[in-house]
Amino acid sequence: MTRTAWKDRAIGALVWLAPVLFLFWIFQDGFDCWFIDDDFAWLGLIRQLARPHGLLLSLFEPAAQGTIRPWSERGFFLLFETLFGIDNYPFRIAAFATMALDIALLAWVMRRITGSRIAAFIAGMVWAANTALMTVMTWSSAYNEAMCAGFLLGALALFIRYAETERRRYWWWQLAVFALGFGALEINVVYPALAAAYALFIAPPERRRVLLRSVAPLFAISVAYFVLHSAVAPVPRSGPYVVHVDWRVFRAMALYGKWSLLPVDWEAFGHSRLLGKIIIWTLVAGIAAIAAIEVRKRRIVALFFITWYLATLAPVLVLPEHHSDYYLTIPLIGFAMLCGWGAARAVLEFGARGLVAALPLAAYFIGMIPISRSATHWALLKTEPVRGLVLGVQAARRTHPGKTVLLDRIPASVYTDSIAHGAFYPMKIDDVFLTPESKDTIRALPDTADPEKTVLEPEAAWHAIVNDQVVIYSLSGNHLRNVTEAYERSAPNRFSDRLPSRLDAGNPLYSWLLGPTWLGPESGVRWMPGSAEVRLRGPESPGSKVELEGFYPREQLNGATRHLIVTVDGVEIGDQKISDPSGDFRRTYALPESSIGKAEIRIGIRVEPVERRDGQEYGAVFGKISVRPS
Amino acid sequence: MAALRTLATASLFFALVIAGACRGKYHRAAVENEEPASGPRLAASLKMGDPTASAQLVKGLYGVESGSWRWTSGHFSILLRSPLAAAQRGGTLTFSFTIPDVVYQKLGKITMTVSSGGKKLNSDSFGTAGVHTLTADVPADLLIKDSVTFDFDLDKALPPSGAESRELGVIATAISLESK
Repeated sequence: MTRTAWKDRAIGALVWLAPVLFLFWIFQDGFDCWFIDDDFAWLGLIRQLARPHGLLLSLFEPAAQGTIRPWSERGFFLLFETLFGIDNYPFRIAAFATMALDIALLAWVMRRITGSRIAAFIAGMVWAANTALMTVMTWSSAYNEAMCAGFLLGALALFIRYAETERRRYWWWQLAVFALGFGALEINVVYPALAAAYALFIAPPERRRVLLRSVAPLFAISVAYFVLHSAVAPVPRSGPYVVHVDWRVFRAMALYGKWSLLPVDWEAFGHSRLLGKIIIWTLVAGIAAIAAIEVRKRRIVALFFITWYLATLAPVLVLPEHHSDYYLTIPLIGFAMLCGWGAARAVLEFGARGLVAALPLAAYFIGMIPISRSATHWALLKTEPVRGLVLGVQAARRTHPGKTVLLDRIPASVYTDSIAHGAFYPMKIDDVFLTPESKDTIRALPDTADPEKTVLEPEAAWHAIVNDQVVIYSLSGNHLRNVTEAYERSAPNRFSDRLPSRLDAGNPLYSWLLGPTWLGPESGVRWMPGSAEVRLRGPESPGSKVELEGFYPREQLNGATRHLIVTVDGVEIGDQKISDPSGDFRRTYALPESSIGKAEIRIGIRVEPVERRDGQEYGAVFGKISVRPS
Repeated sequence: MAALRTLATASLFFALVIAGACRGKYHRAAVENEEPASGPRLAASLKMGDPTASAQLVKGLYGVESGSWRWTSGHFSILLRSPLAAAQRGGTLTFSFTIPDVVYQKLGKITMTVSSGGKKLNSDSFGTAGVHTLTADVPADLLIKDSVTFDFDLDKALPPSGAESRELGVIATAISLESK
């Protein structure tokens, strides 16, 4: 190979290599980010593999918000956790490598579309700098965005090869990549629109008809996927993921447009509002200039980039209750391509005057780079205490085998990012609880752990301390500190020696309130046989109720409706049926006036009929049992 | 297609470089907690299979066997932490042990006495081989200090003989001191 050829290849490699290195530099703190929030739900999947059809269900069962992403979420976490355990680095390496591949594909696609290395280079740099990529670069649960971008760009690259060579095998490979893309993210459904846009706005006019015909089956596949997906994972009817097609779509579009140009947290990170406005209007002027030049030159290439942006953004525009800048990860590829195209055309067509295109680009990078780096560092700092807490509890269990870990003064944000999302479940640690004081600081959130189960009642905490059942830790930076002695010294001043008004049957620290017939605790719940008893403090006011929360396995309910009969101090107070096919039940029974003010009441529970297996009676599974005021 | 192959190879190369070169800021999967400088605190209950229990076995108990129990001699002492509030309410001592067949066949009924600070707390006789429990009420005045030593005496034990150089009493499995 000649020296010129080597030089040419080196420059060709730099077109994608430089943006990749730029991406790694900007988001380098993302490499050290630990697991957080939803990560723990995906990490916990490995414990569910043991159930019947565990792998199949774990991969394809729709998530709470109606998503099915077997490769990019479930498969990703299951595979990496199986191979490497609960170690963040392999997950982060996968995310960084996939984003590098995405940039390389973007550069390749841009070169094929524009024939310009400058355009390919600028597109990669623009995409790599955007703050919207911070989530993907710091949070393993957002890997789906990186993977989906790869499927879309990969399928498009193969479609381009098909368009250029007319070789049918490229079309088939494209179809395969497109079909696999559905396992990454639902946005994959818009790929046929991207391929059609390529055929319409980029391909030579004489090839358009053939290419558009070849896209038709892809649209059919997308429609079939949509119908199938809607059938097995219906669109949520409540909550933040409810779909609304109304005027708010335009408001969302304006919001995402603004976030594409200036980071959402620009002012939160202490930057001037005026400078932000200057950046936005400089970029708007740049985009307007591109549009004007394209119209004057009667070119339609830019319409492909705009189609990419709008088509991949469209699925989230109909969620007016849920806006997040990381949804821009894939649409921004279209924006980056437009910037690359505009800048390259300006230089090529206007010579030195075209360098004015550097102005909006400079404004963009001035806005994005500092925030992207600061936000990534902020994300790292947010995961540090979560790492300290979760791994700290694991270490505490090793140091104090047989003891239950009680956590004191856990900041609300750390609780939300970890315990509320079941952070200990993947590690098979089911008995970690918070001190009673924590009730004042943590907040209950939808679809997260029940604080009444994670926070110990004061009376139960007292009993556990007195009987040496717990070791108490508080969070100290990125690790835990054993505060058992200090906490115990002050405990008598804060706790009283009486029975609680609530218990959690699955929590071993409440076992002393259960009668002798109960079975052992299992993963936070506990079976009772045909009859069982608990002790609680009597109510303080008339009209109080006893509330039972539990679970009845569906297959047992299919046999016969169950009766839940409750007595207080031997006197029956109610008989209620359980026939709810969902299996979960919550039943309340009015407490007699005679129980008011009693230091102790004995609540008897009887299930009829009872199931018997291997000589053991199984009545029902219980969680919380409480005496509640009216 | 050659270009795509190049891109794929380059990306794989990048993944390997990152995996190999980047060690990361943190230890991969462990943190070190801050434990009390004085070392592990005394426990109010012990499982004899726990190797860390040795620090509280004052005399007369041998090493862990089968990961769950220890032989005692005829006289042994165990140090326990006074549980919270026990200084006001008194406590309950529970000692779980087994009399093996081989011991019972040679010694017959065994009487065990537990005392603390020279004060006898309870004495009981065990006339069968198998699992047994000795419980004793511990008066509050004995639990004023942070820790308390309990002395156990058996009326008879197997003397050293042949290859066995130890005096053998019973097999201890657990002990606990709880506040009333």
